[in-house]
Amino acid sequence: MKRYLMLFIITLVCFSIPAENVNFHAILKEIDNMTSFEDSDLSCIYTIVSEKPGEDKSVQQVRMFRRDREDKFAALILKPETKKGQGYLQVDENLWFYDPESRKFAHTSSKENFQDSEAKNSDFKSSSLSEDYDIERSSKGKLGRYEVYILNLMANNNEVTYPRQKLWVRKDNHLLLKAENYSLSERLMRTVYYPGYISLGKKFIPSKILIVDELKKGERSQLTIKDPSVSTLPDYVFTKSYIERVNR
Amino acid sequence: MKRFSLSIVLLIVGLAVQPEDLDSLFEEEDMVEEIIEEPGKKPPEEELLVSDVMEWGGSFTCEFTSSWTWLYPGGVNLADPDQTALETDLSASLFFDSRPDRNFRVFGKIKASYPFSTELSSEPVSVNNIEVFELFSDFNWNDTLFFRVGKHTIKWGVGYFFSPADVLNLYPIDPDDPEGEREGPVSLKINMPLDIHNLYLYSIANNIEKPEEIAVAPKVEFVIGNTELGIGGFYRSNLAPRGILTVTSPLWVLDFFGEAVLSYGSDRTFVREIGTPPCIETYREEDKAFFSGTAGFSCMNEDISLSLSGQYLFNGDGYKNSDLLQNAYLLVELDQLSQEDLKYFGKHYAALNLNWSSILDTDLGFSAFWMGNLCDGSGYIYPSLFYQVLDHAKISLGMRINYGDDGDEYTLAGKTISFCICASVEDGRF
Repeated sequence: MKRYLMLFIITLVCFSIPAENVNFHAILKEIDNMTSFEDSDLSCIYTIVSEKPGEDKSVQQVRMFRRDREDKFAALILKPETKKGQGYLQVDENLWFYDPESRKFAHTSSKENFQDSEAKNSDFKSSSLSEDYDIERSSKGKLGRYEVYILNLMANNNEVTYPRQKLWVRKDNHLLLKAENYSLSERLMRTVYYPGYISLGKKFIPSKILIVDELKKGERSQLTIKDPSVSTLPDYVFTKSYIERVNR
Repeated sequence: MKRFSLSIVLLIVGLAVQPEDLDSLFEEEDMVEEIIEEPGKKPPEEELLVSDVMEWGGSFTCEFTSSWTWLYPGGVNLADPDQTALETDLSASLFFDSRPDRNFRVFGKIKASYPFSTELSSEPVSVNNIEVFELFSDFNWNDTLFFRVGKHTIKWGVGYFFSPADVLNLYPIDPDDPEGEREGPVSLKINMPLDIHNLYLYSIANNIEKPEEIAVAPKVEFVIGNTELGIGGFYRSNLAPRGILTVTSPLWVLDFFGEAVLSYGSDRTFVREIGTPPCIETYREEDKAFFSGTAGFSCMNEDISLSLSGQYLFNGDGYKNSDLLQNAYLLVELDQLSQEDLKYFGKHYAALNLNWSSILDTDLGFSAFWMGNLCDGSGYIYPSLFYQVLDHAKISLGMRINYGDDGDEYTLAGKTISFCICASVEDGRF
């Protein structure tokens, strides 16, 4: 009996530890570095197509400005017409939502869904996986045609949107391909796929993101990116004044 | 045979509900596209500031509300309401937004509502119900000082249902429609952003004839951690000067807000009891400090479309009870008081709103709004069910119950129960 138990433990250990000596924390840091624009600004237009069962597809277009080194982003709704003029400004842990109807900024929590889509406001910010999460487990696997590392992460603070995550990371270039987001009770909340990337110099940004709501079957959002630019933006872009000025 | 049929059915159902294999998204060899930016391209932030064409747009609202009202107690006879009414709200707004130059923009909005003209009772003429709601221009100096001049809505307070700090806009917030557009005065706003912080100076020149009547209102907004504080003041020669403090701070899933206002004197004309039998007279308080304050919260769970907002108001120049309210209304008819003098008659108010906009992912929703004068114990509650019939069409069924003692603020016309049916075309922006 003892022999079987020992064999079982050895098998478990062999499968849970990868053969090569890999520094997974360094991989998380690399993912953060590859997708964070610390030396430049980033602007682009996101198109978000959301599907809900029994409803027509909704299409939203958002102009996004990011300055990762100062933890700032500004988002301006371009479509649909009913929401055009609404805007977001985020600086550090502060998020303001601008409503052109009341001409007021609401100072709000940043964990909400972005404009009735499956995307969270945090999906538009730079990645900080290596700072916010500890690696609980790791293994190897295959996703489509790619060899991947599968990393189980647990948050080390309560500022993050999801306390637990499971990541599929390409072995060859460490691009993040898939993420499962879990609640603290380990309930799968949503799955995010990153099937395409754009490279801008040494940086990468997902050009397609598919977010599947695992709690509401059939609800998903697909994000695509266009007009990416790493030109330096003026400081005034990340102010309430600019959000107010460019909107209705 | 039955077992075999059941197996086939289970297999078919199993195949039908088999999750889509999205991992197949990663079968393509090349998933990275290299982008090289075109030199000389127009900066992206400029694209939104300039437009070759003038943008037009607007909104459309059409709402019919039928209501049946019964007085209680005294027995509610469903077949014989004390009052029936049909209200029609047909209105539209039209705006233009012109941006010929990155440093110059003109925006205007007009509104029209049914009936589109009103007969004046005093003269045999009719007045069109069309108004210029906003008309302003934006320009700046060196992208440092930003100006907005004209008639525009001013963002001043942070309260949701009540905002004692906001004396700049022409009308106070309507607690029944707290997110509705509010008409602003003719004014000049100067804004100087300092990173995340902001300095503002408003000069308000609405319906005045002399330069000394211009009101000034400076304000500084600054952020400490995740708390935003605002400190400001308001001065106009014939109104009570005010100092204000505002605070907003999101904490966990709650967004907190608060306002504190200290004014020297009050703009309200008060009433007091004199002589026997009790009569009332009006008076002013111009050399006394008044403090008003409010605090509230809002939270939202977007996953289940549920939102909750609540707010308390301490109304510094309000009355401890509503004993004089009924008689005070007589003075309104004699033009000794205005309706504004009797608004928020009490010292303490609270409001709470619960909205569940799509119950269990259906087109059915529920909302309940309560507002109360905590001094006289009167108030009203309005629970309603609504159903999204089509994308822009909604019907709702609601019941408004006014409670309190006779003569209290919300039961001046008696304790009532109203049953309302409303059909509306909403969200009609174009």
